[in-house]
Amino acid sequence: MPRLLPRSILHAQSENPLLAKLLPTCRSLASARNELRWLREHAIDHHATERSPASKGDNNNWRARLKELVARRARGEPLQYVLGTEWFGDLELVCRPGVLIPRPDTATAIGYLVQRMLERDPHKWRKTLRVLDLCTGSGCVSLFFQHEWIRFMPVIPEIRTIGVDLSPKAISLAQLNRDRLLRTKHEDVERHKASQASHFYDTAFIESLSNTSFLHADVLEESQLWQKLEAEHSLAADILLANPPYISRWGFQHSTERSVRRHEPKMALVPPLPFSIPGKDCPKRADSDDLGDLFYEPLVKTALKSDAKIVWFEVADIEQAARVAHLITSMASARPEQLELWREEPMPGIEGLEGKDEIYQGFIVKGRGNGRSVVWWRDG
Amino acid sequence: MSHRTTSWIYTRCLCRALRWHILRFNFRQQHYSIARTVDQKDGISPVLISRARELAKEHSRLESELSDSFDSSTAKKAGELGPVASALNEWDKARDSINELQTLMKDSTTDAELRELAADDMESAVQDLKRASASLTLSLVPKHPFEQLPCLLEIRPGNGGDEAALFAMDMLRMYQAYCSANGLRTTLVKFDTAEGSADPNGSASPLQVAILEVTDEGAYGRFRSEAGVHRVQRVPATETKGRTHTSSAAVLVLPSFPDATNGGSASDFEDPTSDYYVDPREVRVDIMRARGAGGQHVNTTESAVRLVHIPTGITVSMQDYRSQPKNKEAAWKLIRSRVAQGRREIREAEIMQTRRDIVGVRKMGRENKIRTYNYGQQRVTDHRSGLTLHDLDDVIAGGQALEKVMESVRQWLVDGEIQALAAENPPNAKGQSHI
Ligand SMILES: C[S@@+](CC[C@H](N)C(=O)[O-])C[C@H]1O[C@@H](n2cnc3c(N)ncnc32)[C@H](O)[C@@H]1O
Repeated sequence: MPRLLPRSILHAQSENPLLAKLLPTCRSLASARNELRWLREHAIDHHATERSPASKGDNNNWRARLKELVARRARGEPLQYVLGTEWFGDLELVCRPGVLIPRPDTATAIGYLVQRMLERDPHKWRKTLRVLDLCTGSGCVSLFFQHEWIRFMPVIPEIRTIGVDLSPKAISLAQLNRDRLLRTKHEDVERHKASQASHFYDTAFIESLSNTSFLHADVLEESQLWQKLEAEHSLAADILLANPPYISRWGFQHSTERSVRRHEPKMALVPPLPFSIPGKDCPKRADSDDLGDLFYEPLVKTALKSDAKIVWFEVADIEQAARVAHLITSMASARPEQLELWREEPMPGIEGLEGKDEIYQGFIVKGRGNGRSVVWWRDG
Repeated sequence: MSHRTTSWIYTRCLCRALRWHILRFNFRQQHYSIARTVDQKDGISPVLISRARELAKEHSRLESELSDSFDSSTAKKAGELGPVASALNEWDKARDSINELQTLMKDSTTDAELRELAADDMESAVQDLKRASASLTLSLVPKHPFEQLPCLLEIRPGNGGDEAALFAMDMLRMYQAYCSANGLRTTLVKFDTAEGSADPNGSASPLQVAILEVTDEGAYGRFRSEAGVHRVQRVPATETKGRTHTSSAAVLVLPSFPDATNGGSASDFEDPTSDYYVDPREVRVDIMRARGAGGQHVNTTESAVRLVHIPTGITVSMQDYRSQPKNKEAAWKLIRSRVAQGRREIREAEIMQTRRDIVGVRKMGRENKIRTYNYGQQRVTDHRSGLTLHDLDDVIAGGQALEKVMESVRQWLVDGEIQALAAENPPNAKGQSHI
């Protein structure tokens, strides 16, 4: 971690006292400046919408508000909770304390997944496409996947999406995000009636958003989950996506940022210990619990049960990626060639174009950065 | 232990969304010969006339070709030559009427009254010819290839500390006011102050860089005269002893390329043989992200994007937006402009080299002081056109006076073009007998 030089704190102080307050949290002058600018925009906008838009020039009130926002951020509260939104790819989603903030790595992986499906066979998916997003949180994966599909795929079938989460807060936030997107898309359609390209996209997105629902259920209790899904419409799925809690207890203490530990919900990050799951007879292997792998076995079971053709899981690192890949090959007798381990930036780099894929523990690895996902092409 | 260090991780974006960044520019090469010697009476050089006749002939040939079968590239060429042909036509008419009047006047059989009338007409006929000559000359001047594009105005403080930053801010306001007075649409693409404000009205912090996009067609042609160092001489608000300071602000004017997705005239950039082609495979995309474990372990707000055009090393970073795709889009816009501008500068330098021996160099670039704003004398002097106005307030307010100064520079640029073209092809015997 770079040390903050007293000089840069002094510098910030002389520029703007608020900047100096943000510096310890933001760690660099450049990012402190950006955050201060976004906070200021937020303070001014918020102020303007709270009153009449005319009161925008009413300086003192937004300044007071900005001071409050800066104080919250300076105490380590995530900027996304302070501002109330985060960008996920090019979707702006609402964030609330109690629900995990969507991460850019996740958006990158989902975007790349759609690109790969496009490259593999753009015309394959013609019938109703059923998407299952387990551990949906803010709903970001469910919502972004359909958005990307509609933007890039040449064929747009009926898309039916279900997002599942155990946290009631997450379910209501996911619903809110869906409804908010629906509203803005409806407004967009009203506004640019003339522009054909965006009209087509907007109406398709409205349709698929209307076919998106969020379900309160426990992913670790497979049989109950399956019953609930059956009741919703059908258990069958074409695409299964999941970003479950995957941080080990050790990782939570040692490689998780303080602001995450203090402000984001632990149940979204660290799997529970097996014996703490009521009414569940679990293997008592302390070491495997400690690795944070608890969710992947039930997830693979649901993938098999729903007969998903494409499965994507987010993971903590390349070791966990390999463990999950081994789990899949042993549980489902999948061929190793059907599996891919993706890093944070899975798309090929400029030099990577002619280079060969890396192999890790017998699996193909794509891209650069930390290990971030496992993809299982069951149709491949 | 948490890790908040950040680093650039590069990636190559394959997505189709970036396809429109493939930009090809069709550079119209126009080398028209213009002789240096100018016929006093006609106000135009004989070689220039003969060149115009050749082009007009070519024009009518293309037109007849088009009437047989339509071809879009032929149509484009014909369209480009159209103004030359019609300007020449006007010039011929004006000259013919002078010849007629002269014959009338010389003819001894003409009666006195008619001769007088002819003499009266002569004056206006000469004026007509002058006008026709001027527009014929203009039609032969090669158009700047980016003339029709929208543009980006980048304003940065130069020498002079905070006072320079204040002046840069004044310049930004001046151009904004000029645009709104002239019905031009603008967007503030980037506005960085020391404290990072995005609100140009609510910030007291010194400006570091502002980028104003003028989205109307032809904005580049209108504003390219503004590129260079603008010098200010005034007593800064902060100066207690009443001393005049000299400081400066630098203005960079870049053409802004429409993207195909916005239904812009992207077809202009589709010539694969063109020099103006930015291959996305030559652009490295770096994304700022947290080092360390990433994923669920961190919740950073890094959204910065950096683009590097590998062949030229031109680098653009953008971190103004919270959304990474938005930063990427804005960065692409800037890099396309910079790369194209760089190529244009090399091209100009080459042309300049060939002209250097013959004419005095009319240099115009970011290192040259182009204009002085002297508050004490309420004076604005443009060092290229030589125009001085004692109406500083109206210039700084972006009013008619600013347009006057800008127009003087545009005229200066055209004059320079004509001079240079004439110098490029020294007069030769061929063609002079044409008139
Ligand atoms: C890492 S978060 C992922 C959220 C979201 N998909 C994303 O990518 O930002 C994991 C989510 O799983 C949910 N969760 C935790 N335990 C669960 C369980 N047993 N069944 C279903 N969901 C659970 C949490 O509430 C949290 O929203």
